[in-house]
This record gives sequence, C-alpha cells and structure tokens, in this order.
Amino acid sequence: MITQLAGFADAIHDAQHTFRALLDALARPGIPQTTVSLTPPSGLESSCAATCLTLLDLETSVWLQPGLPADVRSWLVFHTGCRFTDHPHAADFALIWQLNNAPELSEFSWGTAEYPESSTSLLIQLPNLTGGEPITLEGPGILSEIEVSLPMESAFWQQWETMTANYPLGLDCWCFAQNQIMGLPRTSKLTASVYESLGFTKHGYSY
Amino acid sequence: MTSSSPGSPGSPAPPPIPEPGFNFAYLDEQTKRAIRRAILKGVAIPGHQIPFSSREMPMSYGWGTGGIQVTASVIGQDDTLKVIDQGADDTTNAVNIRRFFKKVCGVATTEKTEEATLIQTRHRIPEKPLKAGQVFVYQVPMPEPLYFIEPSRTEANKMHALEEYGPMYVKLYEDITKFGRISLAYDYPVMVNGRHLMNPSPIPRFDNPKMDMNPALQLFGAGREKRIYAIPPYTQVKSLDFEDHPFSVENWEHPCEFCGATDSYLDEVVIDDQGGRMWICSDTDYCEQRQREQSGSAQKLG
Repeated sequence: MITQLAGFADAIHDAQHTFRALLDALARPGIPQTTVSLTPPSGLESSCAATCLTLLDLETSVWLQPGLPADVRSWLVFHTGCRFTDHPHAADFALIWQLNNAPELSEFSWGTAEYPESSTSLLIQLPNLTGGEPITLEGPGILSEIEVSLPMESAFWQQWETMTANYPLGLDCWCFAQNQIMGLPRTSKLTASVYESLGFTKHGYSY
Repeated sequence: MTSSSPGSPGSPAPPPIPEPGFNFAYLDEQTKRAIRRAILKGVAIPGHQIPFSSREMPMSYGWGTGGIQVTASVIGQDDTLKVIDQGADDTTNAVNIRRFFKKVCGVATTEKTEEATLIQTRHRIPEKPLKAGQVFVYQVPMPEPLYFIEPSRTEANKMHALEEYGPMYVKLYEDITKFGRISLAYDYPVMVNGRHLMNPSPIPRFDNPKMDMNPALQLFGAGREKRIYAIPPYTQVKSLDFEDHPFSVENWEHPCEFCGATDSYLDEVVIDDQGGRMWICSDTDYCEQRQREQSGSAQKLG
C-alpha cells in the first residue's frame, strides 16, 4: 500500500474548488464544470481523482469496479483513508471506469423511503462527455430542458428511466472525462419525446 | 462558478488577510467534507432534510450556526460574501458573521446583492432578483415543517416518506375556519419539486414566490437541529394553499418613506414615544441603491 503520487497541490483550496464544481454540476445537470488538475494514478481521470480527494474519507465506503490498476486503490487509501467494499449496494460511492460492464443501476443502493440520501453515488469515468446519442433531460436545475450527448448506451437510459420513477429513491451520478465533470442527479428525467424515440414505454420495465 | 465574476470597478475593497491560527473558513477539512456530502445529497433531493453532525461554532445555537457551517463549507478565496439579517447588512448578526468570515477566510465582502457570489441570510430574500451562479444560504431555526403537528422525528420522517401531508393542510384549514384566512406570516410551508414539504425558514410569506424557479442555488442550514437541505436553481417551489383560498402576499398602503418603493417588504419602525412611526424597506441595500439613484438623477436634473 504505497503510492508515489501526490494528491492536491493545495489540499484546502483545491478541495473547495472541486467541491464547487461538483455542486454546480449537480445543481445544473448537463452543464460541464471544470476541476483543478492534478497528477492522477493511471486508471483515474484527473477530475475523478480530484473528486475522490474532495469527498472520500474514513467515513465513506467505496466500491471499485474490478479491473482498475492496484495503484488506484493504494492512492485512495493513502490520501483519503476510505474503506472499500465488494458489494455495490453497500457502497457510499461507486467508481466505474467501464460503464458497459458495470452492474445494473438497480444493484446499487437507492436509499430507503425515510432516508433516500443513504444511496450510492456513482462516479462514472467516460472517454468523453459528448459523442453519444443526444438525450433531452428535464427536472430541477434545468430551465425547461437540456440536451446532453453523453456516450452511454440506451440500456443505461432505460435503467435510468426506471430508476427516476422511484423518486425520491435513486442514484446520483457524476460523469468524468479529463478535467471535466457533468452531474446527473436522480431528479433529471428523460423527456417524454426522448424515451418514446428510444422505443421505451414509460415505467414499463422491471428487472 | 459558472457566472462571470461580479464586481464593478472601484469596488469591492481588496480582501483582508485571514487571521493566523485557524483553518481556512474555521472548520477542519474532515467536517467540511461531511457537510459537503450532505449538501450534495440535499441538492439531489430538493427539499428533503439531510442529517449532519453539526459542530460547536464560536457563537450560540440560534445565531445562525447552521448557515455559518454551510457557508464555511462552500466558501472559497474567490468568493464575495454578503450577509443580511432581516434584510439589513448593518445589524448585529449580519455584522458579526461578516466579520467572522473576513477573519477566518480573508474573503471580499459586499453589501450589494448583485456583487455577491455567496449570500448568507437570516429571514429575508433580497428584493433585487438573484442571479445564476449565486449561492444563497439560509439560517434555519426549525427545519421540520411537521414538527408542530408531529413532534417525533421518526414519525415525521415516515410522513415525509409516505408523502402524508394532509395534517398540514388541516392546520392551514383550521386557520381559515378561525380567522377567515391563512394567518401564517412567516415560515410559510412550501412544496418543493412537487414532492417534499419544506420550511423556508422564517422569511416573510412575501418572499415565498421568490424561491420558485430562482436561478440561484439555495442552501439551508439548521445548526441546533442538525439538518441541511437545498433547492437547486430552476426548481418549482409552491406555497401551500386551497383553490378557494389562494396564496397571497402582504401589501402595504404606503410606499417606503425613504426611497418610495412600492414593491418591497416594509418594516414598521417606531421613531419616538408619541406613537410616531414610519415604514421603510427591510432590504437596506435595495433602499440605499434606490435613494442614491434618485439623488443622482435629481442632481442631473438640477
């Protein structure tokens, strides 16, 4: 458990800056935010690494998608002291680097009826924040609607649609590419025209 | 921040040097992380209260410790802070909190609503509309709207989970049967995002409509009660009412006696022991800016 890599250059102000980016990302879904840059261990995007340093500590348990280099784990332990879990539904944060091979959204914790905040937050690394099928979202933080083209398969959006029908239960995501962040809170829903165009019927899915 | 940094030439003054011996913004980093995680959950579930481990602050509970902890977790070196107490920038609570953050962060402060990136408030929303990119922090004495109906938090949590808000409507209806109208003047309950019943903190009902679809991010901190909640920008906030008793705000028969405003919330101020009184804007920044504009235009005319 040794890491050679430093964390934030300025632990206090870089964390504050990254937190504001995460906050703005979640408060304005679909609008990319920029984090400070740092040298992440191989396997982590710079923005995702900054987020881990900002949000993780000894009070949080983290699920790492299998296949990440061992460096990532030692870097996280050294800089944050976080705990790890092998069970996605037991994690406060889940770090996903290959969305297509990740567990379905229903396998993470959506919280409980009385404490919907006890859900898992997904940290999803993507090659880019654009380039996928355009999707229109609506909900709090979005004035009327916003189009995003995150590189995700329609199966993800199908699961997302099922999940948002269970509001206030659900997952909140941050998507990372390089030093960019895009937020996707559980309140962001696909607009009606989108799920019809993807061939979904509303709330018609079960696992 | 997404907005361009505010600030006009000539103001605000250069930021002071923070006092040595404190972490930036007073709280330790571990505490900030826990509060930040709570704030993020709050934003994801608008109007839902998130418990947090509220800390002792160098002032008593009831003096805005919840708001201060939220502000301390959000504030950065580039922020320009404004603090108001009942609309005023120059009353004890506002001056103390502003001085506190100047001391422990060395941030720039302002009294102008439009120049601030971060505003902490006790019991008012400024008259000048908030902008996208601004963060607006409320000090909250009692976060639980159901408390006076159901004092058990466990039961109240269940009621929120089941969306069982009927008793609140009954409470409002009892007002109508007694007084012919809903008599709540402040902390008037609202429904956020069509799902969560929320206390807006003791702002006058006059300010309730300003929360609806506001472009700024609104954060709420209750220190003694250990709860944080939030309203993201552009979120529906509806004051509870009945079809035949629609929600309405206060209005006054006279304009502000300083600036002549007819669209602002007025305070009644006793000015002597003969029963003399006057009505003036509660938002001191709004009132002063209007007075300055008027004297400026009067000079131009002269």
